[in-house]
Amino acid sequence: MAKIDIKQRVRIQKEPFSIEEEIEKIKSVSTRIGGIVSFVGAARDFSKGREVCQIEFEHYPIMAERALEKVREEALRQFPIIDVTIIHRIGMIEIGENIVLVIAAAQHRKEAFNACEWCIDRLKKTVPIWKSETTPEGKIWVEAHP
Amino acid sequence: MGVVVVRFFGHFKEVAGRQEVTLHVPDPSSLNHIREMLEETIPSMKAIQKQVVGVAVNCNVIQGDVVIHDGDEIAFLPPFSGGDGTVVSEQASALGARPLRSR
Repeated sequence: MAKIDIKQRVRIQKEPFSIEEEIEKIKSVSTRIGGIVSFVGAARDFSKGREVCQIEFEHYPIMAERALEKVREEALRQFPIIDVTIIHRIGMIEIGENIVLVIAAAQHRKEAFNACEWCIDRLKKTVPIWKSETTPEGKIWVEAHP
Repeated sequence: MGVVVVRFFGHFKEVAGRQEVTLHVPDPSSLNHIREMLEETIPSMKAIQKQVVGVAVNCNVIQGDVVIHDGDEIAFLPPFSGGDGTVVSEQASALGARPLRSR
C-alpha cells in the first residue's frame, strides 16, 4: 500500500484539477479498491432566478484547510472506505468550470457512494468558504445553499 | 496594551469596507470587549452581528466569551457558502470549537 500524503488528498487551490489524475492517484493507494465514486461541482450560469456570469470563492486560509482535513478524517472514521480525496477551488471561476471534487474509494460501491455524498454535504456546512456570483445586476454573496 | 487583528470574509468585508482592522486593546481583553470596540470603530458591523455564525480566534472556532491576548487574530464568520446559516454549533464543532475560557 502506498504511503498517503494528506496534502495530495485534501487541497484548496486556484488551479483547475484533473479528475482522471486524481482517480489514478487514489487507485494507487490500495489494490483492494473496487469501487470509486466521484462528485464534481461545476459553475452553472443560472442561480435562484438570476443569470450568473462568473463565480468567485474565497476561503479563510489555514482554517479552511484544517476543516477540509477534518471532513476527510471523519469520513475515514465513519465509513468502511479506503481513502477520500477532496479538492476545492478558490478565486474566479468561469461558467462551466469545475469547482469542487470529492472522490471516495472503497472495496465496494455502496460505501463509496455513501461516503462521497456525506463528504460534499459536510464540506458545504463546515468549511469556511464563501461564494459570490457576478450577475448582470452586480455581485451577490451566496450564503444559503443547502 | 496589545494589538489584535480582526479579519473579515464574505459580505462582511464589504460591510466593513476593508479586509481587516487592527485594534489596540488592553492585554488581556475579553472577546465581548473586542466586539464593542469593533462596533465603535466600524459602526456598520453592529447591524450584521446577528448574521455571525461563528467566531474564530487564531483559526479556532470558539463559543461564548474568551480571553483575547496581544497578537491574537479574530474573525467574525458570515454563513458559509454551502451552509444554511443555522448550524452554528455544527460548524463550530467541526472546526474544533473550544469551550469557554479554555484557550
